[in-house]
Formats: sequence, structure tokens, C-alpha cells
Amino acid sequence: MTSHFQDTAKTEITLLLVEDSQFSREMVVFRLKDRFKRILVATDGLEGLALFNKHAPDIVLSDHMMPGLTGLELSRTIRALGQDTPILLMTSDTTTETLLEAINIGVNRFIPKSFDFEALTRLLDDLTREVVTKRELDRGRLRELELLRDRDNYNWTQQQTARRKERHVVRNDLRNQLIKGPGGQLWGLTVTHAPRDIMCGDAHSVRELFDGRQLIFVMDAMGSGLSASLSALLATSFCNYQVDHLHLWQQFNLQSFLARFQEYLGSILLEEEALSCGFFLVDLAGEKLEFAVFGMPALLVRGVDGSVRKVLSNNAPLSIFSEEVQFDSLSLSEVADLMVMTDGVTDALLESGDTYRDFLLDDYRLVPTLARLQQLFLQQVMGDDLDDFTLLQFQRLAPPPVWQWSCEFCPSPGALEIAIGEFLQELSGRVSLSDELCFELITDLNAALVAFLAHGAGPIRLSASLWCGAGKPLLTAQVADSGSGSRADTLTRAQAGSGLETITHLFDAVFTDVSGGRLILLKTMDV
Amino acid sequence: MRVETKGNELVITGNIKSVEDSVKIKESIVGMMTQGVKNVQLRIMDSLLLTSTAIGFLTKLVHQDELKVSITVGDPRLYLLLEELHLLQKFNVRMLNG
Repeated sequence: MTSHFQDTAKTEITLLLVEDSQFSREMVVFRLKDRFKRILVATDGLEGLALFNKHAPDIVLSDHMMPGLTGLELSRTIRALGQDTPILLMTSDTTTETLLEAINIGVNRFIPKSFDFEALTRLLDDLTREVVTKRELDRGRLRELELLRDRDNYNWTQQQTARRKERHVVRNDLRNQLIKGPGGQLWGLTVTHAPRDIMCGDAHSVRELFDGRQLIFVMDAMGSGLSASLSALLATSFCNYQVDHLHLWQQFNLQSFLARFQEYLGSILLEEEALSCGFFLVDLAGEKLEFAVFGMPALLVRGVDGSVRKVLSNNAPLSIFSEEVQFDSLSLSEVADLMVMTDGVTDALLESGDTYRDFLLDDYRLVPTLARLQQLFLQQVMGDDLDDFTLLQFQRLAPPPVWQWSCEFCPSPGALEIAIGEFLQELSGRVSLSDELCFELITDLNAALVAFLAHGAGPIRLSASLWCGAGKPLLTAQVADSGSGSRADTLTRAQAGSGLETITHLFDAVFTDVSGGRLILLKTMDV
Repeated sequence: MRVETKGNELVITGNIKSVEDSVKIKESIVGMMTQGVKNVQLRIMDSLLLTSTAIGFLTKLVHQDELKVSITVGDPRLYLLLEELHLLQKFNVRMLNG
């Protein structure tokens, strides 16, 4: 026996000795007592079985010819219990029948009586080695399982932390918030950020600047995996940091902002890396959008008259090799909405082998909201092959309507019902409403009004308008009261299942005042 | 996707989509560079896409290695994509039958 097995046997292995001859018992115990941690001694087969059941020894050394229960019978019973404990049978009956029976029962080794102790210890060493090896393998497997479990826990914790970090960096200051332009114009901004993994190469940030303008940046780091997500998050973090310190700048302009960004990017990108990104500075007072877009899919712009045009990137993707940046601007005075997206949308493969780019423009012409465009996109692309994608829509909330209606009432369940009924009657005079759509509008508006009234007070003004700039009409419903209403932040933080949270799922988009008191709901009409 | 090198020309057939495709293109061009090629012409026969990894590599070739890169594309949809990404000029892109 190697010292390792010997040591292990001395500290861990229990031997059950079953022998009816007192002399033999004493001799065996005397010779083996120092080799095992413990020797259990039974004077016959029945006692041996009782000790086996009670102590679960590691090895059984049993005589065969014994009163009550023979060694073979004891062995058969042990195997019948499902135990694979090694059994060494000592027997003077070495006939072929007995040996065959022993083999069939599952006895591991034999030793003919009378034996010399060297032969016995050799056989016991073999069995001990097998037991110790099996035990170590089992322990190894257990350790591995524990390690895997620990690693799983570790990875899960890491992923959750990374997700929190990503959410901390990727932000939208204007989520669900009405953005006010000159002359009472209202705008809203909706973003879908759909990462394939927890950390992804797409990132964005929507920031309200100290001077009332809005700055939007969208990043799509080239490549994939952690490297791309690091680039996107570092780049976005740097932009966020710049925005947080803009008040220290004497005069903010996109040119200086981007010059600093390029300088920073030069320090974090590798030589073969490139970053697709877009920077959009919204100046509603000046009705102007200034932009610098670097190697991104075309910006889609829809006029209030429904005309659609593509605005191409004005720069190649950014890299460490700095080039002069081209800035452009477009007037927002006649714009109904504009859609920014990453190539996860345009390059998504369809089953036909085409990319979604071929269908994007038609779908955009058909539906007026991001929610519905996303729905059409997901219906067509192959889900398994979907990359990270970002969709961002900046839209005018009251484009010139083809129909409008309003009423005022004091809040009560009856008044609510009458108002919605009147609204539907008026709307059905303009568009043909199916029973299904009527039911949907009644339930959705009811839910929205009830959720709004829970935070409001005083007389309610409910108004609605219809815009037909896209293939499908866009219904805009507006609820206003003199109370606190539902502030944008309460909507954003609304708990899952609450009334406010529910209405964000019933409508294509929901916007509220920062101060509350006004709720705007958008819904694409399937007429 | 398959690549075939003919002097300073790299002919690519099939859709360029995966990381492996980008690596194959990169290795082929590096091989051409070691033979002293200073003017690489890519003929992209039928791909609808060009991976971002390939774009990053080609950008580095143009700016750091000062290689002249030209791309001839067979599918007009790839031409439109490169136009959207503002890469026509940088990579001297033209249509195969244009």
C-alpha cells in the first residue's frame, strides 16, 4: 500500500470483520488493527448484517461458512440493499460452483482458508485503494459542483452589477416627459434599447441641457462582445460627464463637444476599432436640429405632411484616426418625427435572406410610432440572429390634425363613461371603427383616466386629435386637470402592475408634464 | 463566404456576416501586404453587408498603413449601405457594372 492510501485508511476507512471463529477473529484484528481507522467485529452473518446496516463500513471481510447467515448469503443481502461496498470473502470452499455464485452475487475478492496474512493484507490493500480512489473522485466531483455553483453565483452577481452599471450610464432624462417648444408645441422622445447580452455594443444618452436644449447621443461600437460594450459605455460615460459639466463652459457648441470627444476616443479605441455614433442637438426654440452622424444607418425624417426622407450620415465611423468633422442641421418647423437607429435594425436578416433595410422605409411610412415600427420589425426578422439594437424617435405630439375633439367634465365614474362615449361617437364619424377597436379604446382610455385621476383634482379636460401623416392614423389623446396629475417621474418609476405602469403598455407612447397635470397618450389606429 | 486572391485583387463571394468572415478578409489582405501590395482592390460580388470589424480594419489600412483601398460591389444594396455609412469616398466604392 502506498503511504497515501495507508494514511487515508488509518484515518478514514472502517472494516467490518465477520468471523465465527474466535481464534481467527482475534488474529485478524491483531494483525489489521493498525491499518484501519476502525474494525467492527461480528461473530456471525446475522450480527454482521446488523453492524453493516448500522455503521455502513467501507470494506467487508467475511468468512463464508458460518451459522445463521453464510458469507455468500450476507453478501447477497448487502447487494440486494443496493450497496456496492467491497466484500472480501474468506472461504475453505473453493469449488467452482461456490466461486461462480460468489462472482454472480458481486463479491469482489476471495481468499482461500487458511491464508497467510501477507496475501490478506495485499487483497485488503487493493480494496482500500479502490475505496479511497472512489471517495476522492466523489469528493472531487462534489468540489467541482460546489465550484460551479460558486462560479454561477459569482457570474450572476457580476452580471447584475454590470446591468446596473449599464443602466446607470445609458440614460434618458426625458423618458415619458413632455418637451415644450415655442408656441405651445409639444414633443416627446421614445427610445428602445434592446441589448442581446447584459453588456452590449449599443448605448445612448438623452440629456436635457442647462439652456433648455436637448442633446442626444447614440453609440454603436463596432465588433461584438465585451470589447464593443466597453467602447460604447466608455464613450457614453465621457459624453455624460461632459454634459454634467457644461454649465462650466462659457459657450456650449456641438463642435467643441465633439472635439473633446474625439480626443478622448483616441485614447480608448484600438487601432482597428471604429465607433458608429450620432450626436443630435435639439433646439426647439430655434426649430433646428444640429447633428454629426458617424457611419450610422440613415436618419428617417417624416414631415407633418407625411413625406418621408432619409438623411445620410455626414461622417464616416469614428476611429483613432481623426478627421475633420462635418456638421449639418435641419429645420424642425415642418417635421412630424425623426427616427434614429443602429445597424442592429437595418442589418437584421430576414428568412428570405434579405435584410430589414429593404423593408424599413415602407414600414416607417405605414406606422407613426416607434412602438409599432418595432413590432413590425420583430415580426419579420429572425429572432435567433438578432443583434443589439437601438431605436429612437423624436416626435411632435400635436401635428396638424385632420380631426379633433374635446370635452370638460368633473371627475366621476358616470361622467367618465359619458365622455368616452361621446369621444367614440365623434371619432367614428371620422374613421371607421371596428367593434374590437372600440372596445380597446374604451378599456384603454378608462384605465388611463382612472390612473390619471388617482393623482389629479378638479375638472378634467379630455381632448383628442387624429393625424394621418403615416399610412395608419395616429390618435393623440390628452388629459389635463388643475391638480398634480401624473408627473413624468412617477410614470417612469411606476411599479409593475400599477395603474400608471399598465397604461404605458396599452398605448404606443405615454408622456406627462414634469409638474404633472397633463397626460398625452399616443395610439396607432388599426383602421 | 469565400475569398480568392488575384494579385492585388480580393474577390469575395457570399454574404460577409460573421467574425470568421472578417478574419478571413483581414488575413487575405495582410497576406497581400506582405507581398508588397500597396493598392488593394476588393470585389464584393454579392454580399449585402460589410461587417463593422472589416470596416475598422479597412479604415486602419487607409489611415495608418497608407494603403489605397478600392471596393467594387456587385449588389446595389451594399452600395447603398456604404453610402449611408459615409464610406463611399474613403474606400473608393463603385458598382461592379456602374
